[in-house]
Amino acid sequence: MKDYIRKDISIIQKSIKLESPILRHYIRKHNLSGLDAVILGVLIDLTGQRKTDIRTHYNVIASHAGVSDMEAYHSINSLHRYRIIDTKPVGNFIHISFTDIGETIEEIDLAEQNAKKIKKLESDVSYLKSKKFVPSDELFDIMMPLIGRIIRKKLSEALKDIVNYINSRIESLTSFTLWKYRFQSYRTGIPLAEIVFRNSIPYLIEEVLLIDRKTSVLLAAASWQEHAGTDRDIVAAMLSAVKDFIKTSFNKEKNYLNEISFGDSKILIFESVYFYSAVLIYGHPEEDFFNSLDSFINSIHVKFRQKLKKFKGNMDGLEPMNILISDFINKTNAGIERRPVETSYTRLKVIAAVCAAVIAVTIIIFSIGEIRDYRLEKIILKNIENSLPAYAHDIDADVDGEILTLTGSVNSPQTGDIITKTASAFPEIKNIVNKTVTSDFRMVEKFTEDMSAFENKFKDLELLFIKQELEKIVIEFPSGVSAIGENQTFQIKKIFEILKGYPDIDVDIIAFNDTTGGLDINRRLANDRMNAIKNNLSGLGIDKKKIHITDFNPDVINADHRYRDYKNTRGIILFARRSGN
Amino acid sequence: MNPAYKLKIIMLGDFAVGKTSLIRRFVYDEFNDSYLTTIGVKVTRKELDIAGCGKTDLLLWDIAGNDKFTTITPEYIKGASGGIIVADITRKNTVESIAVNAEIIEKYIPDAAVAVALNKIDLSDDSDNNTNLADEIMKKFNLNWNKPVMLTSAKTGRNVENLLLNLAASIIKR
Repeated sequence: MKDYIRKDISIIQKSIKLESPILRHYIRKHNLSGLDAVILGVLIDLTGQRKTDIRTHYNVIASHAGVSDMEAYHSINSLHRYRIIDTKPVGNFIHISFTDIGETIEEIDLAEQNAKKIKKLESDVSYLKSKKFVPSDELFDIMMPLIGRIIRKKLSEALKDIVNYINSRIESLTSFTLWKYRFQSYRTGIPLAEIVFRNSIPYLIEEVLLIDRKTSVLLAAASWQEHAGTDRDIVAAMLSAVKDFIKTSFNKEKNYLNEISFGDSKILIFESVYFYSAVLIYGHPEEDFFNSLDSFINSIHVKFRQKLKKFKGNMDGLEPMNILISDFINKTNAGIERRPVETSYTRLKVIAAVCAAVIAVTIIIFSIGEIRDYRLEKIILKNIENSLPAYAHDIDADVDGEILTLTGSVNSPQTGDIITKTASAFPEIKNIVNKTVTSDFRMVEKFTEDMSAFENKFKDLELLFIKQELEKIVIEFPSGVSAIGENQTFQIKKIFEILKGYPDIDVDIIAFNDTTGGLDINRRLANDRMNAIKNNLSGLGIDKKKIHITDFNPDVINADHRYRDYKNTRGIILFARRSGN
Repeated sequence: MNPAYKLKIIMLGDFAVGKTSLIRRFVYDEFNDSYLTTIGVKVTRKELDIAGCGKTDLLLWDIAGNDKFTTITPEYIKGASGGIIVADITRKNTVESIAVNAEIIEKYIPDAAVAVALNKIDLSDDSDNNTNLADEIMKKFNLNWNKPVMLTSAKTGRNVENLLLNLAASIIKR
């Protein structure tokens, strides 16, 4: 980018930054480059402080910003990537809209106003600093009594603004907590905003550990809430180990780990000569806190330095440290509600009981509603049945409060209208959602019949095919033998392969024999052979109930000319039939 | 009741000599062992009642084995009042390492009380009959050692509590 453009951009950027807190907010949040900031400033201006969308060309924005078309194009894409704006090409134009900001405009405005107030003070200090008659390093000390008062005044004004702002916001809220705060305000006479402010923004010291620097031994500790938690001695030692690990791993001999954050909590670590303090804090502490922590650490150092200097594990004389830590925690957390474990548990029980009661009442109300809806559905359907012939509709009704939803089929749009009219006669129903489909019932019926006939024909063909295939297979046995051999096994497998895909086909097993040995012996042999075949097929996976053994009757085979070649032999044939026939 | 003493004790020794097992034998373990592999140390606490000294808390720093792949962080050793060097009597090189670990202790904590634990004694055949086994092992490896040596077993618990008690007492009575 050329120098003169850069200069122009810088001027525009400055002017926009001063005038638009929203732009300033974006610049800070996304750390925008100068060019992006200028383009964004132009867009904020063109959209009336983000209030409307615009449809424009890149060159229009470029000319407003005093940059090239290509620069405007890149910047707009960059702002889109940051999700500050949303862009969409529309023909030869580009549609630009601003995405929502998490923070409200009022908040940004307020922050801007406060920043301006502080800025005013900064310029005063700079002016005084430029005067040579006071050494600059002594300036702060000399000016402190005067400036301190001004800062306090300005800060109290800013705080008042914030309190007013919070007041206006919370007055519109309704919640159990807010009512609790209201009651507290009424009881104590403290403004509601102040109570909300105290309870919603404060930081809280949860725990303080004082650890010996040499030995990493825990010297003293105290917590805000009593808890049977992790062993503090081990925590102190492990914290030292982690600290040492970071120090050696990242080769930071002079710098040390001073903060570990997790969620809204953090451990702040402060090094002193003989010990270090690990302070577990919830929330975001202010400058005041660090000042009081400094004085606390200093007081511990002064009181115990002789003991700590020689500390090698003897805990004698260090007991008072615990009390001092407790006092410091109590003083810092003053005004914040302490929640002992037992109370929390009792409270939990109360909450659980209330929840159970609410759920029970909801279920009862819901059930009553459901019963009423069900009864209404039945009455509506009955009325519809009475007003129309049965063949004209096949519908279902679902009532949910005041809404009736109809689903299913009707034979004509007129039938649909009659159904809607019948249902709308019920005063309980305020809204009817008719989702019925109009279809010609006679056509549907005919189609169903045709399909059924086709299906039957197909099944007949299927049966014929199986019958033919099965009747080709004759399982022969040697004379006087009913046991299954290799030959028979092979034939049984062939039968299984045919039958396995048709579970609704039954088979009759028919046996034949030569006349040798007489009828009784042959009947017995035939039965044994049929049973053997049945068991084998069943073993392969064919349902036993589908295999039927028939009475031995040699005439069945003798009468069938297809088996004339098998006269005077011994064997089994299977005949297929449809289940149930 | 608050302890009269809190002592930092480090445990050194090669990989798999049984340092962690020795600790586990007698302490309630609150932290996951993954600390050992990530930052190279894990701390546990053992409460002892030492005759004439009162209740004493030993903070046992189990330091990951020192070998060609791992270097001990000196910061973990500094400030310790005592050290236990652990060796596995079934692995010759771990006994040879006693001298190396003794040097480390001498360098960073010269005033500390030190003891050697010859561990896995349950795997030795003559440990029950030979009362001089500890000295014999030390001599065999040319280790001139004038400090306590104990035959320990994390498996059976043999001498583990004694080792800690003696070490703690020697630190306090100095």
